[in-house]
Amino acid sequence: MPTGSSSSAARRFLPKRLRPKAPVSKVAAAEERASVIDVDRSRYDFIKSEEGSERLAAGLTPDIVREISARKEEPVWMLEHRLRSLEIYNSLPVPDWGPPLDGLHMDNIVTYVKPPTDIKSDWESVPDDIKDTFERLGIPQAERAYLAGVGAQYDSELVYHNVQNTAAKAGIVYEGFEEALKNPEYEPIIREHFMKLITPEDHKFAALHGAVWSGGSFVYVPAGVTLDFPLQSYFRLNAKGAGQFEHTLIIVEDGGSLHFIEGCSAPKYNVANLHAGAVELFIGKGAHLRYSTIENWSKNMYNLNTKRALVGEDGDVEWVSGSFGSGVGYLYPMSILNGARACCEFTGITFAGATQNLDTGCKVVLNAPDTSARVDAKGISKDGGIQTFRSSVVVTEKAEGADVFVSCSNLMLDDRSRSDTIPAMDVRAKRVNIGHEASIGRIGDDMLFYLMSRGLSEQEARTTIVNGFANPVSKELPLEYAVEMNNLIKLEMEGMEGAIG
Amino acid sequence: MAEVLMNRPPAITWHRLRANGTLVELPGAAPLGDADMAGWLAANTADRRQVELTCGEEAAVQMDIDAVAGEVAVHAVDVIAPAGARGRVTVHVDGDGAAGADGSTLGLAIRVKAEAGARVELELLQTLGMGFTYVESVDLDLAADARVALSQTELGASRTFAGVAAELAGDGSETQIDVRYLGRGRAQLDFNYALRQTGRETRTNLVANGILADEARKTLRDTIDLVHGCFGSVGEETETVLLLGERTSNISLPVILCDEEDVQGSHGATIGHV
Repeated sequence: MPTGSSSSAARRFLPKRLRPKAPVSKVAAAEERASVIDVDRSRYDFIKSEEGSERLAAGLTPDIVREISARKEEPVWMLEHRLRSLEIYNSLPVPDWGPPLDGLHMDNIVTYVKPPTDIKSDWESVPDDIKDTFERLGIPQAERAYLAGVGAQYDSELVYHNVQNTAAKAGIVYEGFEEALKNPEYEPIIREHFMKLITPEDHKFAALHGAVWSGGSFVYVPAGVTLDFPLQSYFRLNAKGAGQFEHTLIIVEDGGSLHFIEGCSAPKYNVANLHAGAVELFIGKGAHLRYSTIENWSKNMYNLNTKRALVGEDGDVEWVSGSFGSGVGYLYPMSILNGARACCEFTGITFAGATQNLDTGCKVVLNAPDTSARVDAKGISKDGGIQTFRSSVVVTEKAEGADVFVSCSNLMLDDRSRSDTIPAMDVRAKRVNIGHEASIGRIGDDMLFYLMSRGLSEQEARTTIVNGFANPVSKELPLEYAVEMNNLIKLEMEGMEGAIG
Repeated sequence: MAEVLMNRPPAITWHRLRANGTLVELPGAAPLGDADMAGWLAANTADRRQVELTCGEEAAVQMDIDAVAGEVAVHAVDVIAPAGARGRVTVHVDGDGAAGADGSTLGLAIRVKAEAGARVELELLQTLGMGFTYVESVDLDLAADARVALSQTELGASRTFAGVAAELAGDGSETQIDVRYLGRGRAQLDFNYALRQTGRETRTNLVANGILADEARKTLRDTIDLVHGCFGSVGEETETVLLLGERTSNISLPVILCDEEDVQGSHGATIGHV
């Protein structure tokens, strides 16, 4: 019967208990860990005035694209790229295999909203409303406590960007993307990498991104450099009926190591907002990159994000993904393992509640010998939410010795919701070991009974079980983000009292 | 020749994976209605037989279908199992036809209607020569407490397209499907299983085991569809593929669609080598 290269798999995948843990924040006092934090919806769902902001006209035309480019004073090649991307966008069809996008009308979307400030490197210089926004989201506090650098984007532009001296002295570059593009030292690097991993031809919303991208971060980690503390970018979309199209480009040279965290949120409106960002990660030989995301867009958001990593020989990428927001989501971080013994891990959870249709998962292409991948995905649906796990594993002819395991577990919390798994495997090499398992079910009555007999209410029991279900994801995050994720779960679980078990 | 879309699954995915159905050219009459497997089979059916099982004595029916090289032929078999009936129907499809025999195409369209409490075993064995294209369609319709066990063994033909659609509308109905296949040379095997559970406490179990050697190519899609209202139902699928050739191609699409809380759905797949 089929067997695989188990010894090489063991070498490639250290048990998680033996891995270096993420640095613990100084402010993570015992009382904070033990306390049950009251859920405060206003933390995310608040609106700031758009006074002072500049909005372009809604819609998508060559003139709008030229206006965006002119405002940024970009090199000519970037404007040409934008216009070519717009042509490609107009030629490609809307995907017909995922959640409906009928409610998304580009004629009504404002693709560029400039906040009333330029980029700052100290919070005191940021306008009060915007500063207050990020303070309510905990960003400045997090920066002080445990981050090596922060980028904060508000609508279409970065409003704050800073990196610690220790990181800068080590040669690490963490700049706003547009600022880096204007730097003659970085512009050639950017030109060499920009939208080479995610091309405009890839799909319609990659082409849209190519046409109207704005903001985002450029990160460069020199060879052999390890950053002990994470960098974080936070994206806030405040403007009504607008889109956010940030571009994140990270290059980790041979032997380098980085943990990058991104978070996002927006207030809820009764019109559609759109997020079509792009993340391109280039990981060199023996390099490591962990990319963590807590996605909490409002439920009027169409989240059509594209993330892709290219991993070199002996390199590895780890994706940690928590998806809680958006009304419609298409999100499939992709890893291309292009060097021998490259590996990837994906750990993710998606929570689809009322009015949400979230289609998430991951893709892996194994294109070199002895490459490997581990995928552990979990999904929860309730209150009529629709959650789909969609994956693709492609093992090319070059991937002899490939070792892959995909696991997907979906939990349904009521009979009004939906949960689908649509995994695909395309294997074209012989000496491989590919495994997949998936399960869908509900919370067992016996588990509920056990917890309730210990004094928990039904809602508390369900929340406890769901937190346990989500634990493989939350334990991969720094404590503060795990707490936020647990808060989001608690938010979603409100109202389960009295639900049929 | 007619262009026919074979084996489109209930839920499609990224098109570049080439798993959303297979477009092929088939000889014979153009399909009736949709240009799909059912349409092509219906347009080319020349022989229809009916097998009616009875209560009491367990019937065993054997059919041997000999395909003729160079010809296009479709055989249709309707298996009727009234309430409480039991029986086994075995169909062996065979025919000599070396590679290069143009137009050699055989189709088999089987419909099983199992009424309440019926027990039906359906065994299909295909050993066609490598010059053949083989199209096999099985439709299963199960009433309350009916049981249908389907065994499919595909050992020959240069191109095999097999589709099974099961409708478990009756409460307590069950279907067990065992698939075995061998791909050699440059054979192409293309499967699609759509198992739709609408009745309460229904069970489906699909087990697929296959071997791919030389440059054989295989696509297997299976969909467990747990429809709203099928309380207490269980759907399971397991696939194992043994790769013996250096240039084989294997595509697997094991799908679970779940629109009900009080159910269990699971699948597992293992693909590898000795």
